[in-house]
Amino acid sequence: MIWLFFIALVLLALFGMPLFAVLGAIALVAFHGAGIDISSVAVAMYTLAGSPLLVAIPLFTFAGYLFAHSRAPDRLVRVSRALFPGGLAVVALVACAIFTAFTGASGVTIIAMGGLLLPALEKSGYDRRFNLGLLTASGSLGLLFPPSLPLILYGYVAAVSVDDLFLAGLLPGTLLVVVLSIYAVHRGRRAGVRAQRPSLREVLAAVRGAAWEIPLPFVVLGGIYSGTITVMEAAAITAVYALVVEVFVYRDIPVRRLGAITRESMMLVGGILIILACALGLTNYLIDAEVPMQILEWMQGYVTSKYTFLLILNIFLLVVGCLMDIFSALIVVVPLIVPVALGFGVDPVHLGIVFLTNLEIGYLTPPVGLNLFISSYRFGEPVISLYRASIPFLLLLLAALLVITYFPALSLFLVRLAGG
Amino acid sequence: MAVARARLDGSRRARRVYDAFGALEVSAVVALLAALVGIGFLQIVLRNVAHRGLLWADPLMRHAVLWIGALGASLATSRLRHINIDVFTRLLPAALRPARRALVYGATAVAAFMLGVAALRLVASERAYGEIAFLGIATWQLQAVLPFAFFLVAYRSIVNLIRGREPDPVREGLEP
Repeated sequence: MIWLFFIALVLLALFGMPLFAVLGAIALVAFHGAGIDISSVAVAMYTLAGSPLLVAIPLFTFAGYLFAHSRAPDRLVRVSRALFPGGLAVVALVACAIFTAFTGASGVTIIAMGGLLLPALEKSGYDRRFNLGLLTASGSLGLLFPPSLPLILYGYVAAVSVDDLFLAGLLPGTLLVVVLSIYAVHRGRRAGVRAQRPSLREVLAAVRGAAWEIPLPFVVLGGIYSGTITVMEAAAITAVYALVVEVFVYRDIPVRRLGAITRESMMLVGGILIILACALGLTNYLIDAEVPMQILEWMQGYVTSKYTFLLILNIFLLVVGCLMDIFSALIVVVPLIVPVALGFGVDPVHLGIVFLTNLEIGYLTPPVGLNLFISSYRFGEPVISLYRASIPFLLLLLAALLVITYFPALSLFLVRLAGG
Repeated sequence: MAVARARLDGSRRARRVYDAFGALEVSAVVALLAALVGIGFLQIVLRNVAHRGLLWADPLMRHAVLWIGALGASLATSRLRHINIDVFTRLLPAALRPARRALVYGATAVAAFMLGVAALRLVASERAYGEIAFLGIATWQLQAVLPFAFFLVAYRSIVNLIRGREPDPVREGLEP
């Protein structure tokens, strides 16, 4: 009977029932079945008010929406073009990575940056299919760079230091950008694209144009890495900074639009936090029932090496990544996987980086990777042609994923250097 | 269903109630976020310039996040913007869409209602306990947003069901 109920819920989930309602319903039934008062589910929800780390989520999300609705994307592209050599495709990769790191990973990068970059790339002479694949892949490229929301959320759910994660993501994130950049340079050469060298005047004008925004990454990241400010304080500074600069200095966003931007951004925050709220009760229950330990014991019967485990984990997470968005995947899967991974001797910080890289790739994995649909909508192309366009990028990212998975030092080197 | 939809669309009072809740929540979310940004920044200034902070600022900000999360989630319901997995809907023939909506929105309403009941029980037991969280505000008062939001989610899911609204998974959430 109870299994019938769970199967029905899973089916409803696959037909679009909101994930929080699915998780909440399972939690209610599980608690009730175990003879525990259902108010325990709400007790777990209230623990959301106990974490200073979660305060960073609405603040960073709000700042990200402000950037996305201002003309910051234009200025970012212009500055990147002036400062980074190597053709527009490489510029696009770098600019998208920075933009994604500061705006979370809600697909907003493709919407905000794609419209600027696609025509510019075509004018430079790259072929259209390459451009579409590039921009689709760039939509989630900056995920491993601080202060991205998925890093913070992983830190919260896995109870790992976010400061360590911010260090651990740097080299693997750079690897992903470099791998795609090499491919972009190669394709640019083949298409006969010439890297234009901007005049000194253009460089100065571009820098002056973005003079108010350029200091922000230095203030926030400098503050976090030097230990002068906490993640929560960095989020508050970013939000105030974005508000002052975009609304009052550049005046890109009229004050009357702030209400609508707040509403939109806080709906996304609510959507994430309500899943977290409903999942907390359920994961407490599963951990009390020692479900992760049972998974571990069962797996140890078949898998003995840490590296085989990681390979299986990669395959599993790629499937998860193309079915679920990154936030719900983190909330639902991480609490169950972390104890298992620890049992196989995987460092939880390294695990986090592997986890996020997988989910990042899942965004462009057919058939349901979200970036493919966002690109399809943004660029007016059928999804099928985006499948084809993103295959080379997908393969390159998978190769980089193997490197990130099997060389833990890439993630952990800087953490150890900092004495973590 | 068609009769219920016509009645709902026709009833100005039903629409006014629905919109009033939305307006109330949007104002609350805007005020809470403004407080979060303002107090967060003030706290940094105080800590670095005056070398002291406001004792109530931290719990206030943490609870503002709880409230923003609950109210934001309830607002997200009316725009069908909740995160979901949804692999099959795209493959569904148009004739089966109403059946999907009835099942999915109906189940969501029931789940949200029960979660609201669970939250209400927590609030009731906390109220009997009577603990003060900060600035003279009782813990149960801070928790009260949970049942409020879940009951609104249930209410809005039923309205979505009656109005027969379909989500647009890509367009929604990306443009204001």
